[in-house]
Amino acid sequence: MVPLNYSSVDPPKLKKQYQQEEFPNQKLANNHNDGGGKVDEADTIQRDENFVYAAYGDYLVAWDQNGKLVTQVKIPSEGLGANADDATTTNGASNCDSNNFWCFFQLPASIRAILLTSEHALVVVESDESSSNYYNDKEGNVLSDADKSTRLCLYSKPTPDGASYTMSLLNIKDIKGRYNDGLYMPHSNAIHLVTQQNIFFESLSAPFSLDNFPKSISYDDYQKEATALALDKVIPKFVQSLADEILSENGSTPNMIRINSWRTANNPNGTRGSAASSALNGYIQIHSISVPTSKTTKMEISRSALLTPSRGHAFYGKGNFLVFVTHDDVWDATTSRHVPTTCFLTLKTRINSANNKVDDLSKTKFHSIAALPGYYMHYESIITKNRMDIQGNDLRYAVGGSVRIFSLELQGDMTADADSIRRIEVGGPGETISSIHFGTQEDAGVHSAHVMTFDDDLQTCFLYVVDLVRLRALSSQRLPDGGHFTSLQVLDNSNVTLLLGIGSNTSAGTNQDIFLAIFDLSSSSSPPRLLASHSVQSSERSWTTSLAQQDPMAADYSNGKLAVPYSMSGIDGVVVLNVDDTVIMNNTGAIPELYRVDSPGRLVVGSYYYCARSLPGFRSFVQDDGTLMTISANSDVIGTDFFGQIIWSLNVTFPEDEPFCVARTCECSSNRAVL
Amino acid sequence: MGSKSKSKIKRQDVEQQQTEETDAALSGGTSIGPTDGAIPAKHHFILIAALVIAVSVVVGITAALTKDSTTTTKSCTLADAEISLFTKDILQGYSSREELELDLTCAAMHLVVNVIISQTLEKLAVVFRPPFHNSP
Repeated sequence: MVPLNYSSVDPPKLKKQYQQEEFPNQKLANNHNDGGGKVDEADTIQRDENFVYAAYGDYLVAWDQNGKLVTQVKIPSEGLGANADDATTTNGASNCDSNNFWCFFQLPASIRAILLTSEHALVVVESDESSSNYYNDKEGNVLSDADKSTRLCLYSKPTPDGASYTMSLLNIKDIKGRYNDGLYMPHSNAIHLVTQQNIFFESLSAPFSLDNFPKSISYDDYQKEATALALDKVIPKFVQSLADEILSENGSTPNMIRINSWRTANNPNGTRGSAASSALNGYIQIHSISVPTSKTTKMEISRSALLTPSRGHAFYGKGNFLVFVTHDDVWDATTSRHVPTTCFLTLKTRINSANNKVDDLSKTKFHSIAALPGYYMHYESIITKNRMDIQGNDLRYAVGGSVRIFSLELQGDMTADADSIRRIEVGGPGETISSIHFGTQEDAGVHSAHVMTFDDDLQTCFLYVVDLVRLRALSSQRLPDGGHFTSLQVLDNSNVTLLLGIGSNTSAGTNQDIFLAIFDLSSSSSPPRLLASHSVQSSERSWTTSLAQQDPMAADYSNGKLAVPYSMSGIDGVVVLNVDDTVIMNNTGAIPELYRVDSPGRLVVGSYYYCARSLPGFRSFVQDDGTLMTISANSDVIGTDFFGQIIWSLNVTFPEDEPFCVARTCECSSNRAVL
Repeated sequence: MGSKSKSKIKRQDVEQQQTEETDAALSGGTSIGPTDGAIPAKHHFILIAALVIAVSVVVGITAALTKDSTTTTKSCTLADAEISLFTKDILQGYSSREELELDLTCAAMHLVVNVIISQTLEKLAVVFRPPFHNSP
């Protein structure tokens, strides 16, 4: 690795600040246009035109496209953590000795998400999860993480300061619950963060244990005494505590959907078997934060809330709509079965008609609700997001188990009736949707979708083009290569619009390769044409997978270069492929592989994770000049040229890193090593 | 808030639950019945008696809770909430602490009913365990 002498490099001149409409380096990211610009999804690595921003434990680090570390900011995390008073989390060893029980469980606060606006970086920092009071109701709270859990730190983007750069801390806000998801919506110039809290049910169940009653008590007396206990003490106390925690400090109720059991609309007489327990599984808050302008540093936060039946969910936003998706098994009394059901809740921000901007986030209200049969939630929210889109007032999504696409009217204040929802069946028996790309104005058009299905019996993939207005398939074709594509993205090449499918080749065996195919979408009158394909394999034909097979954000595309991460027998790397015009025009049927780069630096060892700061997982970006930036899961970043040769490297470590655990945890360090 | 009518926990919900739990408690587990072969005739009577008692217990608990709840200042509104699914009432949420507490009370009550039923059935299982326990 070639060390760089940073002091000899002048800080680069800032290119122009982003306009809201511009996020040029995120073409393949899961950041869709929301009508006013690209929606930025929270991540632990972000980049703009000038810098890469990354979480490094409780530090925010930023470097430029040449690998020059421009700033490292320690995020203020004092007081975070449910047991912060018992074992100081940030300044170390003062309370943390071998006699302190809480020390064992506590790790430093860390950055969970970064969101970039045109002028700011919002950093979400959280106490270590093990310091959550999930298992510790010592304060008598009904909700976990009632305070001291999640902190929002607003920074200015790096500005030149002599030979270096500075990021100024502009504002700090603490919010309840643990961070779960986040979006920046340029249309409303607002950031929306989802936090989740768990509910302690022990206070509702433990008092009724038979152990608390005389052994000789008859069941009749037990019933009477337990009933009286429930009505007089247990339930009122639980309700009062939960209401106290839900209500805001001034006592007003948040914008909140009422407690309900989810149920399919086409089963009005159906009831759940255990409605209440399911309805109270978790407490979700959506914090809507107005992004400060250049003239102010204020962060106004309004919140929307709901008690959810499930702990799994997805969060999506576009235009002035936010969509919260969760799932549940709903009891159907007709069939006496639980029906897998997907539940959609939409929130709508109020737009000022005078300037077409959101002027008051506190006016954000729940707008519509629908519970539809189908269980497409994959517990991976990112997959769910890729199966969803909003165009106008239509919410479109696809279920995976059955082959359907719904178009849900968002207008009006009534919810969707499953029978009235427009839908299209795609494919035949045995086919399931493996991936979908909803068209945009930039590619195939807002009223179309490309759908890949997979037939398990035939071991074959089919590609459909669907008209979402007339609800019919415009074309279908059976793909000859047996590819099973689990990710679809459109690449905006200079002359042609390409559809990229990433998956695996079923003929190669399970997880034996990463299979890529590109299709020409340039003709609006004919079906997509398969241009080229390529199978990425290891020389030993070993276990080969890619994050990009599930997460389009993991792949990166720019100027005809496509970078796809891989994992071969546990070794991370990235393969760079040529998808430029010349390859397309040559019509060779193959996507040329340019080079591969293995993960730089040392491998991450499990215990290291607990005891030192580290960069987020393996990532790779194609930069504007065609070079590649690769980030490893530890502390190394490298730049490679067009031939895969290292042209710069950066090691993000600080002198104080090594004693990170030891210095502040005393006896705890040895304990953590075996956690 | 939607309907202002005072309503109780839907009995059918509880009965559905209780039937499932009763079945589970009386048929499952090696401690309350023979694991192979037919139940001796003399035990049929006891089993039926236990079932009758169990059903009466859960119905009684449900009735007691719902009856008592309507005499307190809070009334259970879970049934209302279920009925008002997919209407504007759900989306508009709560306008006061009292409205929120009503729904929380009902949801909590629903949970507690299940807990008490479960514990009662456990006690019943203990009561009727000896004769089964001695079965060949």
